[in-house]
Amino acid sequence: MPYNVLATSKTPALIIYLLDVSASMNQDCGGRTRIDVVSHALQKVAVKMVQRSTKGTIVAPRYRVAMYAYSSQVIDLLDGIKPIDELARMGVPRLTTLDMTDTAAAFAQAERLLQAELPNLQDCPAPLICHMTDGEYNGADPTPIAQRIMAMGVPDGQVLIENIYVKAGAMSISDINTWPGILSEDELSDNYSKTLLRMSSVVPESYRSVMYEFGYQLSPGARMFFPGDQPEIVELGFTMSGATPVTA
Amino acid sequence: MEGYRSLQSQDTPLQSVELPPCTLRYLYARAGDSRTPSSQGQDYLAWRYAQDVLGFVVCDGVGGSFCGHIAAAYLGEQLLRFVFEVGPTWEAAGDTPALAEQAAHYLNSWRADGQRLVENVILPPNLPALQVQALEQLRQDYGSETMFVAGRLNFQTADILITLLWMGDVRVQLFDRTGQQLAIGATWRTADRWSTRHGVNKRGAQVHTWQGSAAELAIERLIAFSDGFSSVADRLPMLNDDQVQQLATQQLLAPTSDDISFLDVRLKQPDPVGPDARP
Repeated sequence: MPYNVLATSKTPALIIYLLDVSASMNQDCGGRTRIDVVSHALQKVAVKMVQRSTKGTIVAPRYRVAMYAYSSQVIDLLDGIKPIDELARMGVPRLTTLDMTDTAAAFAQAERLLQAELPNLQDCPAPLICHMTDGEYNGADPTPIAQRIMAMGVPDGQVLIENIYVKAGAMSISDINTWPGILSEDELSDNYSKTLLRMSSVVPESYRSVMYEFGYQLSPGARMFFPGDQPEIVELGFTMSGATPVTA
Repeated sequence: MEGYRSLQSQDTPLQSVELPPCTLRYLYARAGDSRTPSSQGQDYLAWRYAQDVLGFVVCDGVGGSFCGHIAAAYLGEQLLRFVFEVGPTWEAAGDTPALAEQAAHYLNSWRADGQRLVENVILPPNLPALQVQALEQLRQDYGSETMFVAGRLNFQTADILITLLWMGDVRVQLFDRTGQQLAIGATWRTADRWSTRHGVNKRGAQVHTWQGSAAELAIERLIAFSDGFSSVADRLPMLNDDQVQQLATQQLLAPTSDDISFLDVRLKQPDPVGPDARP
């Protein structure tokens, strides 16, 4: 799959965020709470998307964004899909923690959204789901839904899923800018990391080039999986979600 | 002296101009998302003919930088002045690696004035906070960026010396009398950009130069254009005026449309003299 269609006003990229806001997101992550690190990274990627959509002082709607927080229920943070220029006006919503981790419910919500949207996205870049969690799910296994989603697609390519796993000790990276990314399960120690890896797409070449421009050197074949509780990894993961190619 | 400077808030449909040594065609058209009353095209196109020298510049401001149109217009004017003022020295020196180094020196020397323009831009008061944050970060980290090609065609001697200078993916093509495109060893890398913040020094960006004699290489034509025409580059030499205009209109309707600057210079053949001259 080429993943070469550019995100433009007429062919915007659809980015769906699934954000775990379970109570454990209040735990420490590099001196801040996990939820603070994620909120900060989310703000940074929103800024990046606005920059990549800007000509002069006009923001072209090159991205469309949906954002769901999930705990024991799924909360639509933006009240539907919002173009990036509208998100710029609204601002990134504030995240607050709740209780459980019903990951399957979040993926089911994304699947419903994609089923409704895909017919209208045939000329657009392949949609991307950015899932961030800090722990294993309660309730149903999200894997079958994620696999169904990864089988959906548009001519540009199948739907991309990336996973950011905010877990203490999952991985320690000395230099995030030269980190090659995760290439195989052998690099992971715990089972849930391996499960999430299997739910993570390979980074398309076009995304890898954009990430290189952003200062990251992911290897060919690296997966869209970012484990660890270093704020830099979380940030890298969210940066990836805004890396759909655009015109210069 | 004759010349043209694009107004970035206004399109210029295809124009043709007869100059003593050449015929010029040029066009400036803004992409769909630059056509609102408050926005400007990110390209800048200008040419000037004076004292048997044609100088031109095509700049493509980088959308993802801070107000790319500022760098495009500012650098365009600097380069146009440069090809007239410094061009003779360059012609005397010939095309050497030192030429690119010298060009980089000049390009860097314009950085401070360019950044001053950028610092003086007052953002509209009604912009949302997220957009202000995005723009201020661009202003601070990158400044205003542009890619460009600048050229000097010296008709003062029979050789007609052509000097070119470029960074980025603004293309320039040279054709000989048979219509064959000449290889000028050009690379068109979008990473090669000039910015008001960093000059040419960011991430290994390079300045490229080329110099040659039109007489020696039988050059008859030069075409320069910004990336709004990149996808149809091969067709451009074959098109008449109406077709160029139609193609521009079509390109602007495409989802990936970008601003279009187009300049086409056709050298007139010298009047035959000597024993072979026909009546």
